[in-house]
Amino acid sequence: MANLSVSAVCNQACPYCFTHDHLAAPRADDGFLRMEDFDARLDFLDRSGIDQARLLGGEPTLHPRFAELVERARARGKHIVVFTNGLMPEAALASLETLAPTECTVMVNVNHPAEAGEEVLERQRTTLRRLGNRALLGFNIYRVNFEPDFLLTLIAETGCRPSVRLGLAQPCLSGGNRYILPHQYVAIGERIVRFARAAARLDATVEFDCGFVRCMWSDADLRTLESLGADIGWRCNPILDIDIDGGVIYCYPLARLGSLPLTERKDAAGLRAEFESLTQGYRQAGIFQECSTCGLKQSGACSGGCLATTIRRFRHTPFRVCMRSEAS
Amino acid sequence: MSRTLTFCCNEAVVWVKDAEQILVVDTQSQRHRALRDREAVIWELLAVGYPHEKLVQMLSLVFSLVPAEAERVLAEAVHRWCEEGLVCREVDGG
Repeated sequence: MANLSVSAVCNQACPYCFTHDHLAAPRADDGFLRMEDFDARLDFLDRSGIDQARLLGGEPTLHPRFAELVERARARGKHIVVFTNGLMPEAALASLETLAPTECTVMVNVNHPAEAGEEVLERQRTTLRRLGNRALLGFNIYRVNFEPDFLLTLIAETGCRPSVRLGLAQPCLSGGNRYILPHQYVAIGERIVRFARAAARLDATVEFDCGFVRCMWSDADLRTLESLGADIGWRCNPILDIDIDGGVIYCYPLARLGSLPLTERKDAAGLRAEFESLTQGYRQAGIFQECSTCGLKQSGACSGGCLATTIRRFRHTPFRVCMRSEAS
Repeated sequence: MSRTLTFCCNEAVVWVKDAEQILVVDTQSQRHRALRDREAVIWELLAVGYPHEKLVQMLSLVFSLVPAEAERVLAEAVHRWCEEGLVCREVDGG
């Protein structure tokens, strides 16, 4: 898996945005991936054996030649995955409508109507209706008292895929975005179980993004989630987000760790191994004090949560101590 | 004749206090070291920034050691961490 950033431009300003550290810096270019560079990205996917072209941004559909990006990726036989807020130009929407549902997955990330506003939600409804079961709802949790039930209404209203992908808002290393704190995980876990039950009553399922941890649920709640078809990966791996300037980052929240250059010889497995090596020390810890000695983490059954959250626990202390020593 | 040695935390070193240990990581090499028991106590007190005399006094109390023994325990830990690259020797005094 690797995500291709095709746009550093966005038409929303979500408070939890993971790209806060990465896209805030001023750019010399126009903020859109050049077509010849997109071909190089597809070459990278080919040599890495990746059959998905996962397009993200910013808002990827704002790319002035988005339809052509999709065409070029389809010409290579890639399944198209688009991470969008659903507020897309007509040409981009029309291009996605030409694809069969088996050829694309459009992850439409939405915020609660009270935050997004009815006008935004109506545009998102239109996108969802037109894309039908090509589209899947995504929802990022960035506060404890989140209210996800509107997502089920959206599914019923629009005919999009009956599934919701939940994400936990994770901090950028700068801490400049809104995010969930580890001590809030258990309360959030309880709400997720309630939501999964409500979804199941409407034959909808809940999917999970990265960064979830085992201990945010009791064994009974975990059994409930599993019985409702939830597939929780307990993962936190280098996603590989490839920026429009060719730099490869671990993932957006970890953009400040630095980037690796995408050269013609590198493939995804090699880049992933480099990032694993660059973060293996931090990996000994997790988001909680108990993670580093937890059996679930040591056995690999749990990742210990988001690495960005973990790294933010670390500190440097410039202590100095003077000691007497017997000189020879 | 005695002289004064000054040790400081390696600039690339970060640490986190976990439930049963302190985890110290060299951000350059990603080498890591778990400090437990006495080492964890010493590291945490160093991080507070206490001067040597106060450190010895506190370690003496915490570990129930006579001051000379506490000073030896402190010196052993700091020299070991110096060899491991967690701390570095800064300045020699007279």
